Amino acid sequence: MNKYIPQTLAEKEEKLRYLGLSSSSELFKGIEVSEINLPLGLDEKDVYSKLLELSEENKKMCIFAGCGAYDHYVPAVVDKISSFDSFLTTYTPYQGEISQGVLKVFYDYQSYMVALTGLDVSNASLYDMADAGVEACALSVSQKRGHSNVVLSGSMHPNVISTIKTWAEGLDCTVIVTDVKNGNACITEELITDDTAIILMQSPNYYGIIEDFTNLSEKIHSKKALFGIITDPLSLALFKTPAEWGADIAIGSTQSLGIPLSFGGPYCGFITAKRELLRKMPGRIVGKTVDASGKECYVLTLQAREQHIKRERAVSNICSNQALMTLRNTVYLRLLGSEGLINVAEKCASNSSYLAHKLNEINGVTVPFIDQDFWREFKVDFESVALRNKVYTNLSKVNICAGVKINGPSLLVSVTEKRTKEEMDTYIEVVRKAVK
Amino acid sequence: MRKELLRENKLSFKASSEPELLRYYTKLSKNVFGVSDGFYPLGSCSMKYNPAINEKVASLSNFTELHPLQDTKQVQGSLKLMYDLIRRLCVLTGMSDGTLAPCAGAQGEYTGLKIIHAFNPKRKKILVPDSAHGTNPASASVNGFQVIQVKSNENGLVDIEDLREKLDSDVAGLMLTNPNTLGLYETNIKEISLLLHKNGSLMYYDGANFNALVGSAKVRESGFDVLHLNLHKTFSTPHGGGGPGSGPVLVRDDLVEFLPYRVVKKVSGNKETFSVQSDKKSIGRISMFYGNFLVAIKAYAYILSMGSDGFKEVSETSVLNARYLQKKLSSKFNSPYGSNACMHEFVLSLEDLKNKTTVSALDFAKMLLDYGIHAPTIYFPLIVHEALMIEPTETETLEVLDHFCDVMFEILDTCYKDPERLKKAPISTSVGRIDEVRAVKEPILSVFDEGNSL
Repeated sequence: MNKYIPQTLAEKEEKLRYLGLSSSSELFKGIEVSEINLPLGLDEKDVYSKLLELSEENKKMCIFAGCGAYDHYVPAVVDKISSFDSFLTTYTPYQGEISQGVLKVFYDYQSYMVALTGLDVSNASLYDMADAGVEACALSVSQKRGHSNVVLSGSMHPNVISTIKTWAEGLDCTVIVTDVKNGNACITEELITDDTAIILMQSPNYYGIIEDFTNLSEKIHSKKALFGIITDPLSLALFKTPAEWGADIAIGSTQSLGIPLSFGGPYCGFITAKRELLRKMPGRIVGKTVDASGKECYVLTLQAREQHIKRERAVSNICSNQALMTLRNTVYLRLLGSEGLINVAEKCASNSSYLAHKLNEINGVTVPFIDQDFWREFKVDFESVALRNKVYTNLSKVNICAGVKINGPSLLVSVTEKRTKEEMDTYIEVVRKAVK
Repeated sequence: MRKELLRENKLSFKASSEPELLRYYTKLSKNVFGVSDGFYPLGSCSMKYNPAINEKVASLSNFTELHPLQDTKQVQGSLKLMYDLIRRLCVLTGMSDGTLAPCAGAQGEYTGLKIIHAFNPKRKKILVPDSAHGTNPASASVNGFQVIQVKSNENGLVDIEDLREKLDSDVAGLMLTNPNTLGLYETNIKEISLLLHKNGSLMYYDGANFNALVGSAKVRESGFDVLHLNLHKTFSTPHGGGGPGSGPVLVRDDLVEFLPYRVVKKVSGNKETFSVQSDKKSIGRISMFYGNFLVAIKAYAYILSMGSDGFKEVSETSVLNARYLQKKLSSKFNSPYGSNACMHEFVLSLEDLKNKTTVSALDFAKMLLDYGIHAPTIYFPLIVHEALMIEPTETETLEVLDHFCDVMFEILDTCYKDPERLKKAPISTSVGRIDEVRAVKEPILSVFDEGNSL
């Protein structure tokens, strides 16, 4: 008996007999069946050995890479709670009466996202940051009928730009990407026109710079366009919120809040917005209500927006969310509290500042945006691509992933609260020797 | 830092000690119904057992602590796993290559349709049967396609005449779930494929119901060109309360060049190495990195565990269990289109019952909760009124199936004897019937809407 298929031969025969069949193959009458040329199933211990072996072909490094995936510490209790079997194996909570626990998790998550971004409403999560970018643009084009341009900051994560470009044709919108000057997006008056549906900025941007959006919302709103900001919720422990900048929509990834690197996923996208955009929000939303006896409870709500009701007229084709990741986010935030979160964000700021300044002191190494306000991530320029690659290779030899290689002789370097002074000093020493 | 860049309203929410945290979430988890909590006959969702070993291997630190943008030399194990997983999914479906980038089924549909668009850029229509999942028309629509609905015939299958009528030179493809959402195998599938292909259109396979075929039949052989699978359905990865899922897309040979960023390739040479590449004709990027990688690991472990023998048993047992239930329940319930034996799932209609007793499918579903059984999918497919869509999966015992039938019959009796009892259901759960209308009328979506703080 296969250990996942609890059926004895006698039971199988009993069922077949009940159906008046003599063998399982008769169940597939009229269907062309084929031989499936896979190896036979393995014992659990062999599966484990094989996966362990594969994992060991990866090289675990001390991570100074970021670019949308950050190496923050994930407390053990986050792993523990997110592996509770009921949370892990439950379906979307359509049956609210037996799903109050997971609905409360979503409701808490929505509350935390509102607190962090300052905007009015949050959904119960999207797939990832790129998906959130697409949904923000789709929402804007739908809300602002007749406005078909989406203007994207040139200092935005390039993977978000390219994903939005993939979707743009189907959404019938034109993507315009701004110039970048000195690491910041250049929003000129000409970019904000009567055709603009949304201006989507990012801060901290691709280069880790905290961009200054003073007076931007007035300019955007005077043309009846929407103002969106991509941000990292961890950065909002310190920096001006999207609401404080006058944004209508905030999106991004919640990976920084208790989700491990995991080779890129599962992560989690978020979207929060002003209340007037609520009926255009994509994905699942949880609301508080009462049961038949007046007892407070939670339920998936405003489902008339969604594909299972509206089909081709739905606001989005999204069906699921990243439920288990929102559980990680809420456990992480509840454990740390706002003070704990601020401490983590400050440590990221001081660590990245330390490394950036030390690297900038080295002859032949420049941190071009050192005089701007940046957080957790910064760009480093070397004299040549060859030199950049030498630095990267030499750091690899001491088990340090130096950062992410980007266009030109540059690296994007990220320093989280997890990095120790010893690790940073090793980094500095290796660079110093390599460029000598 | 410049002051004008700093947060003005100071962030303020409470911290919790670890013991309090565990109590809080343990309590919440007791008001959640998972696969381990009881029978979960949710149609088109394949709520099967989620093996423990899958979780163990997906939590190995050399996977969880790996950065997606590390040098490819340092991530060979992960790339090899992804490559091999795609190969095995190709063996199971008969396709040529694929991508793990889509984070869920809906994103897989989007990707697959984008590939169809790339193959046939001038065509603007996608055909979708009236029994299709809601994501099908929604995904076609966000791709910029016009959605044309194809009728089902009196047997619950695609109406070939209606299909012929709607098939014109503007049709890029047909999206089909097979077995369809009534749990019926489209016996005319080869004829349908031929019609579409003659028309220069492609066949899209929605893998939601692949559990009925896995290990027994290859989808490619019935004429499908593009498909998505749901690793969180057929391949045993847990649903997690609605995600993360994974919706790999697989295609036939001549569509490989359109796959999204980035495809894992085996580099020729003595030593087995892997790289990530994109074809010039690629449809572009559809998600941030490699999709939900940890979910892919779990599915991979499952595939290794099952093998060809295990998968054959999966499809056979899932069909056997569904057909057993269908026959038993049909003695007292109306199973529309029931003359055709179902595959891994089937639909009951409570329309007559409602006319006689006023008890609706919703009431019936809520009453099941009082028996510790998760409700089936209800009011779907749309072409069946007062529908209960039941999928037992292969991971349930005969005892559970028989108990489910007993409960269904007992509730049916109650419908006639005491219909008011069903209107009150559920009564044994942590909260009673939820007022959904009120939630919509006065949306309270965070603690701040209640005037509270975190």
